Amino acid sequence: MAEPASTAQDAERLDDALYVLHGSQGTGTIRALLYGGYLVAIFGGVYGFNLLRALLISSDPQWLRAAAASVWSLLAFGTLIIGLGLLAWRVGRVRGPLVPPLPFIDLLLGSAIDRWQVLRERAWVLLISGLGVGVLIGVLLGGAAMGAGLGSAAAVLGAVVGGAVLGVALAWLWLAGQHSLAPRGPGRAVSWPAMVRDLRLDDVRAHALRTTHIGGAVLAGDLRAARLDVAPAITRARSRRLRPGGRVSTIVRRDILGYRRAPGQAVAGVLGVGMSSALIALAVLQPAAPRILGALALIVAYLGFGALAEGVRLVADNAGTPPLLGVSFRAEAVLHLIAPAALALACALPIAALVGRAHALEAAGAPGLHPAYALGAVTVMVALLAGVTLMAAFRGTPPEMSFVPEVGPMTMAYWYGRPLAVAVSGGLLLGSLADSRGWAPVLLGAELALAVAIIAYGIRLARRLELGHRG
Amino acid sequence: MTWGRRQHTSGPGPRVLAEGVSKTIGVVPLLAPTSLDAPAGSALLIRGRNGIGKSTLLRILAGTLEPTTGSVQIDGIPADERDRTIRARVAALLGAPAAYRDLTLRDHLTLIDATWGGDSDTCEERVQAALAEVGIGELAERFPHELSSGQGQLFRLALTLFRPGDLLILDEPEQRLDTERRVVVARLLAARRDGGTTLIVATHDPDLTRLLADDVLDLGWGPAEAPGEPSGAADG
Repeated sequence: MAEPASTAQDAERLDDALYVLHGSQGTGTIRALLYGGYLVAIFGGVYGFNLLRALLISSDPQWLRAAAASVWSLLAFGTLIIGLGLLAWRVGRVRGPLVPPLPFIDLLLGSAIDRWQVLRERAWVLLISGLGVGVLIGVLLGGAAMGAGLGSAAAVLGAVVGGAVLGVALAWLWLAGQHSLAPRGPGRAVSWPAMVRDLRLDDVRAHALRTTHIGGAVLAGDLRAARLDVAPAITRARSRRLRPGGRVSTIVRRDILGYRRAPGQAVAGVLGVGMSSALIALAVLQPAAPRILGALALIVAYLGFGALAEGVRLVADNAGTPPLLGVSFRAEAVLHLIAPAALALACALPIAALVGRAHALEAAGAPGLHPAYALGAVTVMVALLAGVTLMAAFRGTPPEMSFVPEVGPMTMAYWYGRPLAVAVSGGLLLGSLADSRGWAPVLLGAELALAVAIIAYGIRLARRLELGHRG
Repeated sequence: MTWGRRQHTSGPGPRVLAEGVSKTIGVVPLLAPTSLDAPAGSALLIRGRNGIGKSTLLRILAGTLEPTTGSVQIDGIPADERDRTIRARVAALLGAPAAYRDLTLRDHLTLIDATWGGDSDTCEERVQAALAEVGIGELAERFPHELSSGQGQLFRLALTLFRPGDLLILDEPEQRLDTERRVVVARLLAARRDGGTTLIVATHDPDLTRLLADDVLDLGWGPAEAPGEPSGAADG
């Protein structure tokens, strides 16, 4: 039996193998890292800094200072950090950071060379990227605050250090998520080399295959394939049964059963909708709040509502197949909106009422809308979400222009992003209620009408997709 | 938007009449002009080489695809799945329908039953019987992703056979099934035919053909004749 090679021998063997793969030019990792850093820095500097600064100077500085120092802000910041950490770990379980191409995995990672040696370069890239992105975010946030007269140089330094720590921590959690797939050994690996050595060939290979599938699916506009690749297998509440009843109640119960069997997704959806309801209520009631709050809220709400609307997407997946259910295609799509919309309202209305009450106590006598407008705004938000969810589910296949090299990426991005863009625009409109004064009832009514029109458009898209298969 | 209504079928299934149906996409012919006549309550089996247009023909017969030329009538009504009468009569398995990731096999059938207005008091027994009929009764609490490819095909057959309808259109129902299961499926389909359902089935399976066929439509075997009988009783 061959003896395990020493570290030096491993390095030598790896160098030889890499020379065969890449020749004298090397792997190009450093060049790719530098180029990526250059792009991120340019975009961050040109767009990020100016956008953040504009956001800060367009808000009431006194309100911003008070808001930043409040317990709620600290709580929101803590929740955001924990949420990012959980997200990084979760993403690591689906697609880890250390995923070389398939031939590299089969020929090098599967060889007797120390796994840390083989993946070390990629692990360093991960660490440096985390550090770099964290520092950049710190510089942007701190710099924008200083530029808007809201912070000092010390605040910039603090933001940079905080950003760097957060970036490295998120990179580590991403790797920890990938590492968590491996069965636990006798000791708990926490160092980078130990975690990398623990990675199993099968897991890395599965992630590489998934990356290839998802990449292909996204480029081809086949979001169903991408979604199924990412979605975890459901095995919960197996013995719980779908109770038969009327058409409407059974379809609603189906969606509720889905929430019980995929509780993580349902909780994420409820949290997303809940958080965005609070933001919308704040944007509507507080004239000093930044106007962009409404747009941010709708981005979160779009993702949250989407997590609750699995049934709608499945109807779209079945477009063109012979019908199995005794309801029409469009009716089925609409029925699958009942459960997510009801759940979203059940979560959004109390939160909006709470924010409204807190605002009324805090800002008694100050100018601003009546707290009831927050309830109206989140109701419109849910209607809008129902509409854009239909738009997203029934968007069909990408336009032919998406495959023309010169304009393809832009067309594809537009095709993917249209529902989200509509949601964000709706969020901005809702946020503008705060400035509407006497026109608020008219504006709110108009926004509700717009949301209903978007639902009607979504149903029309469903019809078009259904008929498109008859061609 | 229409909300389905349960159809209680009685008597024989519909007569299916296709006259000169063809399909061309751009300049690519998917199906040459084909005619067929499947009498009520009969079983018509369709054969032919790969790419001859069997699946295309079945989609046209089921009313999910518009023919380029010709027409299809189901008991005198144009075959168009947008027509709720057609939807209520035609149960078809043409490729794999997408299943819910979060529903067990039993839940899927319960959902189908509820949307067709089935009796909720007897639903559970009927669902269990439908799964047992195709030999997957013991898998009722599994999720679709926990099935083998053969079990998945049996599940899809159970979905199709469970919904009401008196015209069954199936595209290679035997695929991925072992010999024993093929015979089970053939007997099940024969029982449906004997009960009055009209069957139109594309298949390459000799056992299924022997047990089921009242009539065979050969779409052709291309330039090189395939082994076996090259032409059938129905016109096409």
